[in-house]
Formats: sequence, structure tokens, C-alpha cells
Amino acid sequence: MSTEILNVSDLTVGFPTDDGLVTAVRGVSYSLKEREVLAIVGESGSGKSVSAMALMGLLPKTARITGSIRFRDEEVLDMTPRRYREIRGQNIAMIFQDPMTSMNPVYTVGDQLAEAYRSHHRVERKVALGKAVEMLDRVGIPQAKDRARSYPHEFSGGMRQRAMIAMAIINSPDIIIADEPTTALDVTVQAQILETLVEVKDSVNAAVILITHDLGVVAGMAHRVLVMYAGRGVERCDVEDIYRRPRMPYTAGLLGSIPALDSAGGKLHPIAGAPPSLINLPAGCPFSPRCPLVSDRCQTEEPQLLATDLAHHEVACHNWEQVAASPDPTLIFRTAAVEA
Amino acid sequence: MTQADDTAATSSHLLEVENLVKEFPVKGGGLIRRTVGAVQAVSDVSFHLDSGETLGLVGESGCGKSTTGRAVLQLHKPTSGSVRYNGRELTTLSQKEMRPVRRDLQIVFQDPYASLNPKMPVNDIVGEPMRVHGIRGPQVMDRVADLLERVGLNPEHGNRYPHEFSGGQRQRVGVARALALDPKIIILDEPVSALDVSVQAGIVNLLEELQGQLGLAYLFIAHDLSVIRHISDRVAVMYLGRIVEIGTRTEVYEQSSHPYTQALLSSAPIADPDKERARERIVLEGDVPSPVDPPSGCRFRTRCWKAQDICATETPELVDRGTGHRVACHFAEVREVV
Repeated sequence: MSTEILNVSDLTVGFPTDDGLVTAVRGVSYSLKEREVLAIVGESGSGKSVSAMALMGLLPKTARITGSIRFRDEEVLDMTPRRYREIRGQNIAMIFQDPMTSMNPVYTVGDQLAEAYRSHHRVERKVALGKAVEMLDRVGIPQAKDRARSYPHEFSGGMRQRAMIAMAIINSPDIIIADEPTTALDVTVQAQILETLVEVKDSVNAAVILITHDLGVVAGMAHRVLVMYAGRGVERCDVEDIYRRPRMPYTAGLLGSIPALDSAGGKLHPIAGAPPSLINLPAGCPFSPRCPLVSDRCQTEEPQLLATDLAHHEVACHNWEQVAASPDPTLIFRTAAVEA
Repeated sequence: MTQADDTAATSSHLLEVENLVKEFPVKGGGLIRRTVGAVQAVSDVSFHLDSGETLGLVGESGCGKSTTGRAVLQLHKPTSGSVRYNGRELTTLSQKEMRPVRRDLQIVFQDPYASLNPKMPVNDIVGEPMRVHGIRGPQVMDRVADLLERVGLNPEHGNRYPHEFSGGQRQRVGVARALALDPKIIILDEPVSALDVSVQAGIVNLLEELQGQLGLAYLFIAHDLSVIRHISDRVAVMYLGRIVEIGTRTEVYEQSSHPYTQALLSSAPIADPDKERARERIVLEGDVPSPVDPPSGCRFRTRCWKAQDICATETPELVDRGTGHRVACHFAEVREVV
């Protein structure tokens, strides 16, 4: 059985602002096994990206981070900057949404990949460049040797994202964090990139944390899913359960909001209202103002992520049993009024 | 609708676009800035739109779908071709002659943050089209309140500014503004792409309700294949400035016959793990060629697995495969992909 390589528990990230402390992530917990793909799903402002940035130590110094991030047997949050630099890139690598702004425009693609390799391996520049070409070839860039001499702006969006993947795997990391890796790309290019990502993560035996808002991408790639809402994990389960047996009204609402590609489908059942502002969170459950199953308890007591009737399936909802009892949970939003 | 007699059909469509071409000049460097080429954004595009129906225009970035929308409205003056509204040719009208026609043809933009003036309260934004067209007095305020209510906003919030609204609410303001002059046609240019999924569905439902109540015709431009399937009666697929396939949504999604349509549909993810993992995916090689120098003949041939010599020499026409389902491919055949 594969072992756990990452354990995040009760991670909280706050940013001091003029309007007070904005808590973008409020007590998120998850774990990752070797070679597992965990999808973190949520809408804008749900805290999915911030939680990943905390993992990589990429947040500004003003950010207040508490909780625990354990990589194998080490506490990441207590690491010295020197040790942190060692594992970052070497053990945990990241792929960003926008490959144009995440590469340096004044260095060639090959140089940037070689630099990533040389920060963790004491080799000559020429050897590192050879490694860079090998990686570009592996992610499907044609004439990799020539293209390594190109600058990022000479690449198309899809090729840049391939180069980002090549950079992420050049040190054979244990974990790849992919933050909306295909959101900026067209759908035919997205298919190419996802296929490449799956291939290379298998070839280096890496686990993946896939951050996305697209439940279609999740369906194709993930083993486990964590749904986030207003800075909290609200549902955590195996990938089939999200689509077949959701227990959180928010998840059911998301599913009812997506038009089907493979059938004409009937009316959509959207969730009323909009996600809350993190400065001014509602009391109790943050989803309660939009939830058709809301009860008095929801408005006073914030639910914790707790076990349900299903194995490996936790939900943060006081009324999950009502969702479980519904033959088609997306229909609980049927009567929801138009956004006011 | 029979395609047999084109001349007789001409006047019966609300909007008739024929052989529309839009090119943007590419200027050289240096002092004189001579024109050295042209971006062929829209090449020989023809379609029609009837009242009460939705035509979905779908394609990837740079395929010319937004330019087509704007050329229909004469926001970009077409290079050649014809756009007829109610039988009247729009491409030859002067700015002044065009103005009264604009009452009937409105547009909703993609970005609800950039398309609303941040210094104007929502009441003024929604009322502005009426002022521009000489409608003044107390009835404007009544109409604005009525429109806000119609799109699901509280009329009491009309004196607020755009930044006080969420993205979905802002897009509702954009829809209310488009409705202000009782248009017949609304061009919706990626109206839900910038919104979160849970909010997107609310706007889609609103647009469907309004169409039912007001008999509007929509030209719905989007890259999201699921949204297009949900909202459209008919669908046109564009690639590099040309329509490659057009038909009813059932024809395009269930009997897709152009290789590009098939690749596009098979690439779009389905939110169902069993189906998604069992699917056979057509993954295209390479990238879209530059519209400055598109491939000869069929523009898709450089990425097509069916390409033969004929594809480089002869541009495939949009050929009717029965019942108005038209496909521009020498080797078109039905393949089930979703």
C-alpha cells in the first residue's frame, strides 16, 4: 500500500489589510499518498490557490500561517530557509496557470530549465542543458534541441505550458502542484496538456495536487477530491462520490449548474446568490445564505468536516442526511429563487 | 426551413449574413508604415438568424467568432460581404443611417468589469441607450426600474455603482442595458465566460426566460461547448475565420461530421468520471496556424488526420448533408464523439 507523503492539518492563512485580517484559508486539512492525484475544487475566492502557495512558501511575508504541513516526516512550516530551498523544486514542484508570466522573458527556455536543474544538482551547465532538452522532448516539444534556444514569447500558449511541466519534472519531484494548469488554454490544447501531465507524472512517480474549478477536468484525472468554499474544506471523498453521491448541498449545486455536453439537458438549477466576501463572512455555515436546506443551527454553528454514511467521505454540513436521502441532490436547488 | 430556393428565403430571415469578410491590415515598421499583409479574421462567413431562435457560434480563441459578431453590428466595418436585417442592407449605411437600426441590434460583452462605466450609477447605465435615442422624462426611470426587476435585480439598488455588485449581478446590468430599447436581436459575446459556474447557470436561465417572454433572437458567441449545446437551437462551428460546420444542435453534437468539430467535442471534458475515462479522445497535433497566412485550400488540413492532396488545392464548400446540416470537408462523415 502506498504511503502518505504529505499531511496538511488545520492550515490557516490570513492577510492583514486596511479592513482588518482577511482569512483566506480557515483550517483546511488533507493528506496525499504517493502517486495519488488530489483535486482541490472551488470557485474564485475559495482559498484553493492560497493553500497551495502556503505549501510552496510563496506567500508574502505579511501572511499569517498557522497549522501544520508535514512533508514525509518534516514540518514544512518550521523549516530553515535553506532546507526549504532544498525541497522546493526538488521534492515539491509547481505548475502555474499562466505560463507567460511565470517564465522569465529574457532567458531562453533551455537556460531556465537548466537553472532549475542546477539549483539541486552540482553539474556543469552543459550537462544541465542536455537534461533540459531531454525534458522538453519528453513533454512532446518537437525539435527540442532547437526549441531550447527559444525565448518564452516565441512559444505558443500550449508549448509554454509544456515547458512549465518540463521544468516541474526536471528534478523528479515527489509532488507536483498544478494550479489551474489549463484554464488559460483552448479546449483542444487543454486535452493535449492534460494528457502530457498524466504521462509525465506516471513516469516520475509523482503525486499531483490539481487545483481547478472545472469538474470535467477533475473527472478525468483525480483519485480524491476536496471541495473548498469560503476558505474551508466542505467535502472530501473519492472522485466517483462527488458526482454520484454528493453529501454537501454546495457540491450538489455545482453539479446542477453545469450544462451537459453529452445531452441536450433540461433547465439548469443554479445556486442563488454569490460566494461571500471573506471580510464579511456570514455567521455559522458560510454557505447558509445560499442553501435551500438551511436550518436555525446552520446560522449559528459552523459545521466541521465529519464522517458520513460513506467510507472515506467527509462533509461539513449539519443537514447532509437530507442530501443523502434525496434521489437527485441537484434538484434541491430547483425551487431556489432568482438571485436578488 | 428549406435551403432549396435561396432568393425566396432571403427576405424571410430576420438577419441574413452572406459571404462576410473582415480583414485587418498589418502595417510594416518604419516611417511610412505600409500595409504588408492582412489578418484574415473572418473569411466568407454566411448564416441566418430567425426571431426567437438562438444561433450558437463556437470556436477557439482567434477563430473570428467575436469579430463576426462585431461585423454584424457594423462595429467593425466589414471588408466585403453583406449583412441584411429585415431585408435591409447594413454594410452600405452611413453612421447616421445606422443609428436608428441599432435600437434593434444590441450586444452584451464578456467582461462585466470592463463593459460598465465605473463612474456611472446603474440607473444611468441602463437608461443611457434611451437618452441616446432621444427618450427622456419620467418614463425613463420607470422603464429602468422595470428592466432591473426583469433581470432579477432590486430596483432600489439602481443608484449604486458597478463596483458594489458581484460579477453575476454586473452581467445582469449589462443584459438590462441591452434590453432597454426593445431590441429584436442580441449578440451575446461570451456572456458567461468570466463568471463562476454557480453564477453562470443563473445568467443562462435568465437569458432563456427573456427569450421566451420577448421573442428575442440571440447570436450566442462562446467557447464553452456545454453552454452552447444547452442554449442553442442551431450551432455554427468556426475555425480560423471560416464556418466549418453548421446545423441544428442535435446534428452538430450527435452527428458531427467535420473532423475539427469532432476533435473539439472529444476534447471537451465531461463531468462524469466513468464516461470521461472511457472516452476515446481525438488529440490534435500542433497549434492553430496564423490568420495572416492561413493554409491554402482547407484551413484545417495542417492538423487534420484525413488530409489528402485535394485539401491543399481546393477549398471545401459548405455542403448540405440534408435538412440544412452543412459541412465544409472533402471527407465529411458522421462520427459519434460525445
